This record gives sequence, structure tokens and C-alpha cells, in this order.
Amino acid sequence: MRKSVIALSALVSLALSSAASAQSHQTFNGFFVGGVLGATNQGPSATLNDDKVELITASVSNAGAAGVQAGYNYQMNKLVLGVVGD
Amino acid sequence: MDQSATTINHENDFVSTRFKDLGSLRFRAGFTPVDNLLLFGTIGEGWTRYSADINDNGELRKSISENASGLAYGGGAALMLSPNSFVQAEYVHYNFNVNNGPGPFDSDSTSFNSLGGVDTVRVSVNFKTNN
Repeated sequence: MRKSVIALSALVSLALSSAASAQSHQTFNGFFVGGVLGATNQGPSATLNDDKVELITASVSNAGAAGVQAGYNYQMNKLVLGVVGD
Repeated sequence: MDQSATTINHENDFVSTRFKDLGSLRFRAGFTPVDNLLLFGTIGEGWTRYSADINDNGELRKSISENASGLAYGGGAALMLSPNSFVQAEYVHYNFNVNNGPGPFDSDSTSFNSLGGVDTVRVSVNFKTNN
């Protein structure tokens, strides 16, 4: 996870540095695909019951997450509509 | 995405649950307050593969694995870096209600319920076409 965060940070830094020279009036139009890193701050909860009396409940578990996403954006002036799957 | 796990204990019994392989298909709508910056909201359907192992005195009594779906929604921001790339930060909440079934223990009166909501915060680097 730490290596992934470092790698993503490096990639973002590289991309940000190139953004300074990016042209204006770019649009979000088009198909896109990307790598995703993230975290959860709340997990599933589970409850055991006996005669409908709650025995014990526990929840919340932090975890990392990684994956991919892809989608399409359509921009009309300042309005952007799109669909994304991950 | 392998998301999270919960373990509950009762004397020598314990239950471990896990959401994994989170996925979603979402629509989104947003606006660009300034060039290269997109603020958006998103809503759609989320899916997960859910598993639970229920142990009694150290012995596996029941193992559950099933798919679940529910509403996924959130919002975020995207920053255009070049004509072909953008970075994005996003919050997505998945709302699942999964598995209500008989309990694993001796009495038929036991039951096991699992309810899940998952909050995710994520960043992504994306590459795009120009049309």
C-alpha cells in the first residue's frame, strides 16, 4: 500500500508539473481510463442475535483500496455529464 | 477493490465479514467554475462480493458468500493536467443491506444480520481521449 501511495504521488507530481504548461480551454470531453487508490473509513457491521436479543455488534474497519475506472465525459460549455464504472 | 473486514466475538464464537471487489456504475453531472477544474456529483448502482465466516468454539460452522448491490453516491473534483490527462479526488458511499439469515449456533432462535455501508475516499490519475 505504501509503495502504491508513493508511486501515485510521484505520478501526480509529474502530471502537475506538466499542467503548468497545459493549454487553456481544454475540455473534459472523451473516454477516460485511470488507476485508483483510496481508503475506507467505515466497513460493514455484523450483528449476532439470540432470541432477537443482540449479543454483540461490531463495525468500522479502515482499509486501503486499489482498482481501475473507466468512463466517458461530455462537456457543454461549463456543464459536464458523464458515466463512470469502477 | 478489497475493502474491509469486521470481526465480532462472543465468548469463543466469532464472525468475520468482508466486503470485497467493490464496483459501481454511476452517472455524474458537474460544472467547471474555472478552466481545467470540474466539480461533480455522482450517483448510481454499486456492487460487492460479500463473505462471512462464522466460527463456533474455533470450528467453522457456516461460511457465506454472496453478491449484494445498493445505491452508490458521492462527489468530487477533477483537475485537467493536459489535453489527455486529469487527476481526480472523489468520495463515494456504497449503501448495502446484505445477508439476513439463521445463526450458526445451537438454537434455531439465533440469527445473523449484516448491514453494510462503505465510505471510500479515492484519488485517481486518468488518461483520456480528446473527443
